[in-house]
Amino acid sequence: MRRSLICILIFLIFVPFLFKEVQAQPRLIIAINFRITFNSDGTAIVTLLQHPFFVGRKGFVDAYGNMSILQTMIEREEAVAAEITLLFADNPEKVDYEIVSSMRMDDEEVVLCDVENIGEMKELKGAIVFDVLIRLESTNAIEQLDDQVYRIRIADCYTRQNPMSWIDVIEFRMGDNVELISYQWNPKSAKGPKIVEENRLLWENFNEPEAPNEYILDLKLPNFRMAGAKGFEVNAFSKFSDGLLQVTLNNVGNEGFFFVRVIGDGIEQTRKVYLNKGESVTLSFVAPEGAKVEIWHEKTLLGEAELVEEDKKETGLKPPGVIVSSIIIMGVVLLFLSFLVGKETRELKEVEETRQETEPLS
Amino acid sequence: MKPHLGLLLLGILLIALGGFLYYRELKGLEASFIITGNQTTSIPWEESPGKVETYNHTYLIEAAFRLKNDRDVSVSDIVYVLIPKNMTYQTSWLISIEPEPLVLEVDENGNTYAKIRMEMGPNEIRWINATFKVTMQSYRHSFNPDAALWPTLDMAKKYTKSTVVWTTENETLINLAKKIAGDEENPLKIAKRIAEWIVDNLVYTVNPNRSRGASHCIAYREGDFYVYGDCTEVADAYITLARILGIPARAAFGMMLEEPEEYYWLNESSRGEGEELLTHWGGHIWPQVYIEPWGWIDVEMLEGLVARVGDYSWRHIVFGLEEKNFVEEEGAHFCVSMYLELEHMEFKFTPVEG
Repeated sequence: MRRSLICILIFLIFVPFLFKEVQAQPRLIIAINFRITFNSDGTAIVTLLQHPFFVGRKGFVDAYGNMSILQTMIEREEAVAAEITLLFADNPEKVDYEIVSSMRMDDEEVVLCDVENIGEMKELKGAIVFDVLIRLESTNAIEQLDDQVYRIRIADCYTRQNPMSWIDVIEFRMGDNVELISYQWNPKSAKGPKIVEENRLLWENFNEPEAPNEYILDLKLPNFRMAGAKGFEVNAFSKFSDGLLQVTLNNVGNEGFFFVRVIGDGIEQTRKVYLNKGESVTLSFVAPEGAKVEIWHEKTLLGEAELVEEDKKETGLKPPGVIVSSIIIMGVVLLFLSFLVGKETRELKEVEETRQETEPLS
Repeated sequence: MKPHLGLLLLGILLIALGGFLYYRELKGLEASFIITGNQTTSIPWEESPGKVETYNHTYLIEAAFRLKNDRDVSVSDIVYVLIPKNMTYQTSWLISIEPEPLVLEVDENGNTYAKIRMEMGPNEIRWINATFKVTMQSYRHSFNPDAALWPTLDMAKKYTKSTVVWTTENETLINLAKKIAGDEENPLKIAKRIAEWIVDNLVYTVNPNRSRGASHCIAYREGDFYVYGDCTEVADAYITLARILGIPARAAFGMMLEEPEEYYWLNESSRGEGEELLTHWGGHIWPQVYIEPWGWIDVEMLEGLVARVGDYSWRHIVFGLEEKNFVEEEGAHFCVSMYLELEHMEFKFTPVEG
């Protein structure tokens, strides 16, 4: 139980009611039970059962009969759906989910909670029930381990928002054809499941230190195939130009973030870039020759950028600079001058010698 | 010597000199990457990263938390007290904590909590007292930006993703981030640009009455965007923009001291305070960015309203990090309980010899 964020919100909503007790405001606490059924097609049906009670001046008072509170809880359906997605994702915005059945009161349901913190689960009759279907592939909780085997990480979505909050009871059920291969939890100091069956695990958490912050299940899902980054397609090519590795991306699929990873010679660098549909961008890297360029979308490697020929101006001989050229030209001019001067000197010498030969001896 | 022989020798010498210089140019081309004309770019991993100056500052921190069971019945509860963090530029010691904790536990963000069971009778008031010693290093980088490298894929995936408060998928924020970065491709320079943009476009307001998150604190008014809020909003805005641009970022939180010897307190009644909160409370949160080869670099934008990247003062004490988990209420960083009322918390800081 003890979902702090919701507690705080509801606490604020109910301030007028709460002030009826002058000296001590009753704090509204909601007992939380989850039933999560994994289907072989890679979806999970999450059933949330909530039961509110007050920690009032006189102790713990059941609030399930308080229609104003129940109505307000039911009106928070959308916010609660977003919170449920946090079991599987860091950000609800990206999760593909459907509300299977809207929030409703069910007087026959039972919610378990150690209300008085005495190490004993009490059965609280009546629950606000809510069913949400989540497509696991849209979350960051699922990772493929083997052909049909997937690792699914389920976080305590309340602890993530407040370190003292926890889930009272969480039950994992394996649907038809789903095989539970193994399970673990974090932190290791937390307690393990109370019930372990072939197709079912159930944790009863009496307090936050004993409640896992993360449940990790390895499941065989025979009817599920990770489509990877479906709809994300990028044309990419790279070339060494002016000594820099230039990577050009052209997004021909859905808009989104892409990772451009350059690896080679022990150096790895990754740029993240957002591209709209049809958008192109060129990124420059200082990279060792022969570096490989990978394009990723989230966990999926979309492919490698095609390496096009290097610019000739870089690999060919460059003409010398202005100063060097001037020096060489001056040298050539001097050689030419020396040739001219040498020639003239020789001609003068020859004329002189001819003259001396033709003059009569005195 | 005959004149033409002199000219010949001089000409040969000049041609030889020209040839030598041309050879040097070609060798130079192999050693460095020529961009245009005479401009050259260096190879980041062969560059010196620059210098960093560090100074040690040691503080004794005496923390006290007053809890009340304002019920007419006994209550058993577990109270969480956060221990200042150990990290590159900070070492912390837990000197004492009363009552004795059940366990010291590290959460997903790597923060350490003392979990204390409190059995309290009707209307009973009790204190939790803790003493810490913290040696922090203030530092100032003299960066060589040419040494900056983009992160590895693993770092980029982990520290640039979208969260509930760092909403990197928000299209408006994506466009804003691209505009701030412009054509710049150096991660260190981009990190500085973001900080400068926030400082230039900040409407500082203590305790803004808004939900937490970059989507709420960056707003559009009269043709331009601005950041509205206090340190939490500044950190959320910065981290979100940095993450959009592919620079790993996270938040550090703790205290920002006004003086080396300081006394801060917070009551439940302080929640609604505006500017007056700053007269008795120094709770603070600020961003860090990860840029190789330097690692995590602190970014401070509220100390004198100047964008400081890698210029980290003696005023900061880190209690924890926000990476995956986050809290909506600042007080929940330091001490939280489920049933008991946290009526008051205080921190006394005394400089001591390290």
